[in-house]
Amino acid sequence: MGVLEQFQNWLLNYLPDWAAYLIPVLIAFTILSTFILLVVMAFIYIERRLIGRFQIRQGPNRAGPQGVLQPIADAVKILLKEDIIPILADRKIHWLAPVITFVPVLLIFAIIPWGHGAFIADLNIGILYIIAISSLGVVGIFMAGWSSSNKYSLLGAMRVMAQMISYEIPLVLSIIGVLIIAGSMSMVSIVEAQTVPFFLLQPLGFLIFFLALAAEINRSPFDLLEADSEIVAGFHTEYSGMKYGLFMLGEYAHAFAASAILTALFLGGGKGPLLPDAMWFMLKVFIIFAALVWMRGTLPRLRVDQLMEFAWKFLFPLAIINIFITGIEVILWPEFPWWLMFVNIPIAAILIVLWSSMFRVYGERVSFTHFGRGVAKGMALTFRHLFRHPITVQYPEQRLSVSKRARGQRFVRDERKRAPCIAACPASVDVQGYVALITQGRFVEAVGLIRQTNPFPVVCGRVCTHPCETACNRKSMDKAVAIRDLKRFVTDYEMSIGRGEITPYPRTRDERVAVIGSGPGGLTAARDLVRMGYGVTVFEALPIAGGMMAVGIPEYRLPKAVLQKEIDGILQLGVELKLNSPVGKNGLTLESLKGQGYKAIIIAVGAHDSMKLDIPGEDVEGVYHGVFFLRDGLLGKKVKVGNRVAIVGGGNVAIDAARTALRLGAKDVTIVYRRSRQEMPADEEEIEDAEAEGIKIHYLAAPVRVLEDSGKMAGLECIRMELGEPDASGRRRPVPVEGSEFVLDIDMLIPAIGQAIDLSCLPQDHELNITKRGTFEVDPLSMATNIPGIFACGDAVSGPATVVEAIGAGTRTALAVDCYLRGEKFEELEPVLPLKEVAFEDLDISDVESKDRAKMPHLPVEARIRGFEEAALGFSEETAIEEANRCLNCGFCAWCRQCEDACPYGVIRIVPQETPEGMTGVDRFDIDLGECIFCGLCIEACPAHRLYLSRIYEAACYRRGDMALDKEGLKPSPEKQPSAYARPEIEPALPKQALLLDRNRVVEEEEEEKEKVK
Amino acid sequence: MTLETEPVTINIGPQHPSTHGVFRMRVTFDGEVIIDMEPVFGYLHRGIEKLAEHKTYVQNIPFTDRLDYLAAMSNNFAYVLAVEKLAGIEVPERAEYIRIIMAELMRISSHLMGVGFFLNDMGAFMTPVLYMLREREKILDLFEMACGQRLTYNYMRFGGVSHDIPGEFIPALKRFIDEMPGYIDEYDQLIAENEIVLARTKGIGILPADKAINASVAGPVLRASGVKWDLRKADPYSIYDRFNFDVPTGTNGDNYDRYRMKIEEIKQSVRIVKQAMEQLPQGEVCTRVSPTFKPPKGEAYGRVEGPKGELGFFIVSDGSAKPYRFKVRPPALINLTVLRDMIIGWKLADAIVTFGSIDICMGEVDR
Repeated sequence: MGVLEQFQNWLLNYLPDWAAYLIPVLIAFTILSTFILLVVMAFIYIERRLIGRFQIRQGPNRAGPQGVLQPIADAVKILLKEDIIPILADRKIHWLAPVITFVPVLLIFAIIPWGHGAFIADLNIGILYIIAISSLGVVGIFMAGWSSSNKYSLLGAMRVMAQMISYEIPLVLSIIGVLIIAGSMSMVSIVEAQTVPFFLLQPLGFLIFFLALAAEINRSPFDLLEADSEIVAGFHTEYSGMKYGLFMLGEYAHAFAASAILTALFLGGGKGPLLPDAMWFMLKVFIIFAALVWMRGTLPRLRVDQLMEFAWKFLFPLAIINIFITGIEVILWPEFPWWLMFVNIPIAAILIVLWSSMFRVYGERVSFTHFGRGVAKGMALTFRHLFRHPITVQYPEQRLSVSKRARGQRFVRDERKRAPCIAACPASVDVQGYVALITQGRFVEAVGLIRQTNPFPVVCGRVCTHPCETACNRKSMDKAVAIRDLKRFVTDYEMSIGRGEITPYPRTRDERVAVIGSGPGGLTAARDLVRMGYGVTVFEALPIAGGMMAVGIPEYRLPKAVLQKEIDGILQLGVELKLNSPVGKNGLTLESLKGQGYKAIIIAVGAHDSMKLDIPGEDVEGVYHGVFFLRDGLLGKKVKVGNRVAIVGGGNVAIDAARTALRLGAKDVTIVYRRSRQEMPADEEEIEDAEAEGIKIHYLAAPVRVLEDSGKMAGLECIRMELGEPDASGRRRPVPVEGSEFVLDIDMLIPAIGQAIDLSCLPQDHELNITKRGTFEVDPLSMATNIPGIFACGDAVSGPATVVEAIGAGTRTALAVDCYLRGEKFEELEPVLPLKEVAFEDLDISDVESKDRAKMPHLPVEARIRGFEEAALGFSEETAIEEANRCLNCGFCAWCRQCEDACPYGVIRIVPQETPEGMTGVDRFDIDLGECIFCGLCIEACPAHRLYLSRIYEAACYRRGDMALDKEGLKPSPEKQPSAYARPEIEPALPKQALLLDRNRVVEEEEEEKEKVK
Repeated sequence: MTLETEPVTINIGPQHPSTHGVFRMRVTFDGEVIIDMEPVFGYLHRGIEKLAEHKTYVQNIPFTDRLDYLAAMSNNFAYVLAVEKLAGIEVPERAEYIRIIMAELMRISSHLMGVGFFLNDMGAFMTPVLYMLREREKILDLFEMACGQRLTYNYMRFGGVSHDIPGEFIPALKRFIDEMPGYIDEYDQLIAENEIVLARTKGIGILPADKAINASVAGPVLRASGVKWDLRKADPYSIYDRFNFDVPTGTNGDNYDRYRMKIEEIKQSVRIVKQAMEQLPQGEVCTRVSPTFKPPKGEAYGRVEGPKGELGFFIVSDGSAKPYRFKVRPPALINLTVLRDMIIGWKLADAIVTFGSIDICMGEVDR
């Protein structure tokens, strides 16, 4: 007796008969229909999700977590859709059809035995009831097809009749085996009878039932009645809105009902260990449904006649044979013992193979071994793909924090401004350009663009003091773009794929130039001169090239091999390098160089001497100057390190020396710096890294004298300082605090308070002007010394500075040398583009999302201090692109209007900016999206590559991530105006021009300084 | 008792899920058996041939992208070949190789779509086509690297190609070429032996060799009928004579053979790309030609073996900066002319599959 009946009997004690019967039925109906609806929603979700995964897609994932709310979204959509009925349709039947299809499906659930005692009714003719009821749906479908007045619908309806009737027969016949064994037609009794699930005892019956069921509920590959590729949508072609929804609902409810019947008849209903009956039941139902989805995700559809043949020639006879065999078995073993499954499974297999080989499927007889193999292989493949990572994007999509101007509309405000990063770079690297290239994944081109003006991207990507980041407009919003790390990334990328062949520049000029010193300044000047066609020889005193880059920067910051590759690249361009050739020794002098035919000489010797501390005891054993300490280590000399080491100074050299000492085995490393951390000139990142590695820093302390014990170092006496008035450099001057002396117990001292220029390359009686600081005195623009033909650049002029400043000076020197050798006057070269920087206020950042700056991954500290392995690991491709996308793209356009001429449809237009004085600059590119055909001819036409580098949607389309246009951008352009305004004559941006831009900057700085002095 | 029946006429298309665009077939059925079919096209006619007479030679390159938009590179290729022939423009060695690589990748991509949608027409619920789209995406990524576009490339120029391939291209191409055989195996596992596919394709939609030749059919459709005709071998253009590859042919000319042809040709294309990649020389990629250059008076016909067959451009120049006549020989249109003969007597479902096996693109049929 079921739960429902018990409830009714109990109510009979209190209520009149009719109420006692009706109330429980109504309650059950409500619960059941809600439950069915929920399961149908789950089915829809599972189907879409599973199909997605079979096809290595994500499947629905937008509505709710993992897209679980998708069915609700679908339902809402279907409810809101317009209901369209064809004029010629038979309206009454058209309305009635979905109802007639849907209701019988609900009725099936009345006799499903969900679990022990959990059923609405237990009919003793349960199976007959199911067969009768489920066939009713066919009438509804045929009505739909007939009433729609559409030939596709009619074809679908005809197919329905044929298919449903044909498959009903094997379906019924395949159950008979079950009935014989169970001895009952009641669903409850059949479930009870399954001590062994019937799919084992009746494998053939199970298979036939499963396939016939799939056809009955219209699942692929038997879904001919709505075969989309042939008859559009079959019987429901003319249905929309909720009426279509009812068909959908009916189909899924039918699938649910069918899976439930299959579970009850063949899989032992709710029977199973541990879990409650109802859970087992639903679990089995879901597995069956998943199998149906799997079939749908793998197999193409049968043709209509093949479908019929499959029912009549294959399923039908096999079902008959199955009844026959089951009958014999029951006569022989009336109890139908469990071991019969070992008989029945092989029988089923043999029968299928034998029978299928009886007839031809596609003109060829099916071989014994082949049958089913193709389908099985396909099913196995899709199953494997189920576990693969989907290749589509996970929604909600990753939002790119790209500014509106970068996305298309407003890209320039004023052509007479340039991005602050470019302006800030001493080497005038087109930062905005290469960052834009990185966003587009064009890494090799990005390195190429950097090399235009900076021959050492590998070095600058690692050790540059990045003035560009300091100037970055993004820092006014959140944090500056990690430009240096991006540069590092592209060079890493280039190294990973190989740089390719480097062809030397052709020699077009007879003059030869000598460069003394192969540091960044010297080599940059050499490269630029070679590029201009001169012959250049570089003289290097040390056995390795690279100057301070090679002997001043420790391996963990700049690996030697990496640097060497970069230098080799420059040498391959045609630069001649002479190592171990110190000028000023062995008869090699400035004079002799001139004698050898060098028309110009560039002195770029750097600052390789160390400044003294000027305290007592400085000559004690154990004092090792920072510059020499680093140099000797890098040159491979044996460097002895004490146990407790103190470093004096606050620059990068001090930090480098400290970290090197740590790596060489010092137990305890301390830095003594006389100002506070705020004033410390070393890079913030460097200081942080040093602290992370366990280096102690004594701020506001200065050494007073070195303590000595029998010629050996016994300690360092220091004095506390406090900050007083600001000095000339703008930093607050440290003032000693009386009586605050203390002693550091150390056995090694590394002074690193500054570098001096080694003037040993000059003869004693040289006539060059030397400043008070011991540097070369040159013209700040042309880098020329007081002797014509002799130039100087780099640290030798500026005092100890950075790599990128030396590079900038090198390029400028090369240009000046070129002028000198051509007999032109450098001063008379006119700057072409007097550009201002784009200020943060100029930018429209209303829709730019704040986003964290990417962090450079580092080796763990333990691994770092063990050796000289490079500490920073570099960005991954994804991080780099993401980080580059943070760029606000401040850029500019040269307004040459080549793009307008190139366009086949004339849809690109440069829109001028209107100011009170009239039209002046370029405001934006206006591209009519409705007419643009994305051919890219305008991009090719742009001489300054500004369109090319921009992330304008229409013009670039380089990455799909950029293809998000706001509605504003979709507006068509207004009528084209006649171009009455003059076009400024501006040459394309060439490296030479960039140098001149840089000259401007120097002039401005000079003026500012002069003002200061005044 | 005999049932009285009468034929029924149905318009399949122009709005239909399986007509690959806006093609329309007026089909007369006896039950579900086709007794007559009348193809109707022109719904996508844009008058490209006429439009082209009003644009400069360079500005016409983007138009060729829009013919067979699934094989835009091949269209570019055929057009620039014609103009180069007309004006006698030399192409640098490196550009020739890049063009071959692009054309063969395009063939792979086009065939993948051909096979994928062919199976979709058979009712496979998107699975094969999505697997193939996955590889097509990789090819499109490669194209995007080279020219920034994923569908309408506008990549070839008179005298070369618009940009050199970037440094990232060759490693990515290598990866793709290494992976591709594995993917082809995957397709074969999914489709090649599937009984339903075999039942739906073998012996259906047969096109005999003589009929194919009479109708001047070309490409995989022709070769499936057993005719060994491939312009890359028969009339080697560009530098195709430097590569080793086979021309696969079918035996029956049925739907199955046409499907196999495409898979076999993908394998051959992979071979060609591999060789081209290995031999790729350094150097210039384009002889600079002025945007408004004027070829001498005369006429020229340039043709390539496109993914769908012989694609030809016939250009007549009157010495001005714009072509006097711009005529396309579209393989898809000519292949489509045999459809009627192939499907009469078969069922509706067969007609759809046969139509899919011809692999057309309406952009090219209607122009």
